[in-house]
Amino acid sequence: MKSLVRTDASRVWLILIVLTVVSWTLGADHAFGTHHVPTSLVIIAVAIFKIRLIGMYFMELRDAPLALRNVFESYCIVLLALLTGMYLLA
Amino acid sequence: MSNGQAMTRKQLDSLRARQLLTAWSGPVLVVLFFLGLVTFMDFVPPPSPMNSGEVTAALYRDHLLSMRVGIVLCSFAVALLAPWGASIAARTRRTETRFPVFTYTQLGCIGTGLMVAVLCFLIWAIAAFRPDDLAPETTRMLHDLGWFLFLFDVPPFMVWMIAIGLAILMNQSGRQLFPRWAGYFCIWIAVCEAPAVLILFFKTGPFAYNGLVGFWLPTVAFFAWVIVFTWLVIRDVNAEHAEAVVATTSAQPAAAA
Amino acid sequence: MSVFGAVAIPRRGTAPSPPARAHVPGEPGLWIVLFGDIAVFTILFVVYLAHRGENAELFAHSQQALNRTFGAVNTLVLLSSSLLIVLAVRAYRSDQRRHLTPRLAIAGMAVGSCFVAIKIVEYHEMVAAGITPSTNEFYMYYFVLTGLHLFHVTVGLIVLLVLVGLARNTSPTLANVAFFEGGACFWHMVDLLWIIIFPLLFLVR
Repeated sequence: MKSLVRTDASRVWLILIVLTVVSWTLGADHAFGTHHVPTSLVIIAVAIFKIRLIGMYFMELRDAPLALRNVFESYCIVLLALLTGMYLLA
Repeated sequence: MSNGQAMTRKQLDSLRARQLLTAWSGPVLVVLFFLGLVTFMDFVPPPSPMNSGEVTAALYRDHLLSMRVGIVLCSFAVALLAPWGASIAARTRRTETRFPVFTYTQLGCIGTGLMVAVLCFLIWAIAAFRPDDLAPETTRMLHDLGWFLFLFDVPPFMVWMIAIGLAILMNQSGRQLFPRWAGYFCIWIAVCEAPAVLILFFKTGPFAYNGLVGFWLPTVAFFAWVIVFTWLVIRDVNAEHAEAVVATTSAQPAAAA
Repeated sequence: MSVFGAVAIPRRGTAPSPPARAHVPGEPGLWIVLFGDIAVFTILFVVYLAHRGENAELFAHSQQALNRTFGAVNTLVLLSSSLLIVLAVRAYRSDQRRHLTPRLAIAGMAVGSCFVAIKIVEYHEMVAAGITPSTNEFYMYYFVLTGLHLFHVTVGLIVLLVLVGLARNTSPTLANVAFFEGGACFWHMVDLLWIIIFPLLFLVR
């Protein structure tokens, strides 16, 4: 059981949990102050980073054929551009 | 194809012809629909659900002939759902010889879907029948009723798609129904149809019956699905026919000898 | 006859070595559904941000009424559930550890169900405060986005239930393993979607 748990997936999970708490703290009422734009941008970037981890390590796209993996990687980039762009420019 | 070898060329050709005829109803219905709904009725993009009774009544009154022509075209278009659906159901039937559950599901859904579509245009026809004699709110109610039949009633179509999808993915008959990606495609299109039910909750915004998610997504998805599956059926029918013809012509000299 | 019997037992503390050949999780066609679903949600995200732009103050103000704690806890719930499912998939592939699969899958399902419970409480709280999908534009997006996601969570839980059934098989075929992987990927997709929805609706201002 231990060898099952002590894997890259568990380490990724830990990172994801930490990042969630970080975003949560950043997104709390007082944390924004007057800097809500940069804070929001950070939160968006962190979210994209998290979904990439899920795709690579949980969905195991890291070991998938390059074509499939690249579709996902491209999506992450596109999503980052879309969300940041729409947030700033809409 | 063991069946093919027992058939004459004429029989093979007939088999191909009737399958192609029914499959081609798909593109024909798409074209008729486009002409009817877009060109003549000018219902794409749909009028806003927020329109008052007066504005809605004016839509019918001011473009009466155009509306009526479009409604007639669409009324014929929707009837073609039956043969088109049958072209897929028949091929499904071949993979389900003992308990054709997915075939029957398709037929049931085709029947319901067809009825929903027929009623949709019938009701719009009534709205365009005596627009001057009706109270504007009555016209608007008929108008809304049509839109709800067009969009809200997606569940029979979703079940239709999922039945085909599952028939493809669970096929163990030894004969391929359609490529496996097509089964997953059906499931995705069904997912794209689902948000149409949100039109009940909103009269404005993307989830209303003139919205991106309420109208565009389910409608574009549906017609894309019709085109893709028409292509799949025609491709398979032609491939089988070619194979069977080769098998028949190579068998005949041996039989004649 | 079992599959992946040749997987080397990993040394403690290291990851199992990746397969020699690139491996499609589940099967290729499945990714039409997964990427397709993500694409549809992405359209919703873009539409949300577009409308937020037109009404930034209303959105920022309305966002205050959301329960961020519930949202964050739900994120932790889905992440943990996903991990359990990842472990279940790895166990399923390994001859030596396959017996752990049912327990891991059930645990994943149980943790995942907490999402639904928390969501129900969250919605109840909103409605009790007089906030419904038709209250204003922001809440429309909140309820629709989280509602559509909740629907996916429910479907995902049903998929996990099927996986639990599949997990009992002590000698799965290649097809069984592929199905298990595929189902797991659907669950991870549900997780992935929430990872975007939570910050977008609850945190970004």
